[in-house]
Amino acid sequence: MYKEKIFNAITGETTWRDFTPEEIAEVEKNQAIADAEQLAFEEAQAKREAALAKLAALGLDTDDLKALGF
Amino acid sequence: MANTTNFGWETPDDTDLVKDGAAAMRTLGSAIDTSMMDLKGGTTGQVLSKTSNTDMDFTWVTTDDANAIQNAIVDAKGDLITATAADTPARLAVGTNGQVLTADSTTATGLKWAAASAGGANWSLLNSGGTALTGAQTVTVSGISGVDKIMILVDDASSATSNSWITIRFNGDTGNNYYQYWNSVTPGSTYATTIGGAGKDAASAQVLLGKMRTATSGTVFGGLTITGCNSSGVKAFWYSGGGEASSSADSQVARNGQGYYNSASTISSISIFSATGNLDNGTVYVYTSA
Repeated sequence: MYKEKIFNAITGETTWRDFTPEEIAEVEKNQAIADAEQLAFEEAQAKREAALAKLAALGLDTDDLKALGF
Repeated sequence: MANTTNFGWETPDDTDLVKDGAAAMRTLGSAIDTSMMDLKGGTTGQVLSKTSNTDMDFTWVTTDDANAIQNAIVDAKGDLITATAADTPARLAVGTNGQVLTADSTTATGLKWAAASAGGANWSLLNSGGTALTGAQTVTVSGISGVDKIMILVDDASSATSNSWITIRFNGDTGNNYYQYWNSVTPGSTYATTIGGAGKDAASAQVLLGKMRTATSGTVFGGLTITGCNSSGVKAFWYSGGGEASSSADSQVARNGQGYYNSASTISSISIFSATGNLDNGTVYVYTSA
C-alpha cells in the first residue's frame, strides 16, 4: 500500500519500492495526528456555525459583534 | 703485467727490468692520452657532456645546448613557455590585465588568454519536465552527483488525504539529522485568529515545507535550496512553502525556515514525502548547480 517512487535522473528510469515497517509506522502515526486535527477542525467549525446561528436568531451578525468591540 | 684499478692502464711489474722502463712509461702515457682525449678542446663557457654511456666518452657543448629551452624563446615580461607539439616549445605572450589563461585546442599552443567569466555556475534542470508527484507516498529523484547546490521546487503538491504535511528529505534519510529554525502561519477565519509563530527543530527527521488544508483538493507550493551538497560537512538549507490559501478558516500551514542537514554523505537524492496518504497531484523540479 505504501510505496516510494524513485526517478533516476541519470537513466530516466522509474522504479518502485515498498515501505519498510518503520516507514509504515511513521505514516500511521502521522495519520492519527491528521485525523485528530481534522476532528478538532470540524468541531470548531460546528461550534462557529452554531454561534452564527444564535446570532442570526437574535438578528445580529459578525459585523455587529465587531461594532461592540468583540 | 699490472694494470691500474679504474682505467686498466698498463704499468710495469715490480720485477720488470729497468731497461724496459721507457717503453713501459710510453705505454702508460699513451693509454692515459687515449683515455683523456675527449677532455681536450672546448671553448670558454663550454661544459662537458656525455656523448654515450661509454666511459670517458665526452663532448664539449655550450651551456645553451640545442636540447635545452633557449633564453631567446622569451621576449617580454609575462611570456609563458608552452608547447605546440611533443618536444616543441613555444612562446605565449602575456594577455591583457584581468584575462585568465584558458585551454583552447584550436590555438597553436592549446592555450589562450581570455576574459574571465563573470563567476558562478549556471543552474540546470536535472529532471527534465519535472517528476510527477503521484502514485506514491514518497517521490524520490535520484542520480544526483557532483553538484554543490540543489534547488527543489514543489508545484501544486497534494495528498489523497487532507491535512497532510508535504515534507522534504535528503538521501532517504529518516534520521533526526535536520536542524532548523522556522516561522509558520496558520490562517484563521479572521486576522485575529491567525496563528503565527516561530520555533526550532533541534533534530527533526525532515523539513516540513507546508501543510494542506482540510480539503483533499488542497495543495502545497514551496521550494528549498541546499548548499554544500558535494561536501563531507553539514549542508546549509533554507526553504519557504505552504498550503494554498482558502477563503475561510482552515488548517493549512505556511512555513519559512533555515538550517542545516547534518550528514557527512554527499547528496545523491531528494525525496518529497506526504505525511499521510499518497501524493496525487503536483510536480517536483530539481535544479542543480556546480
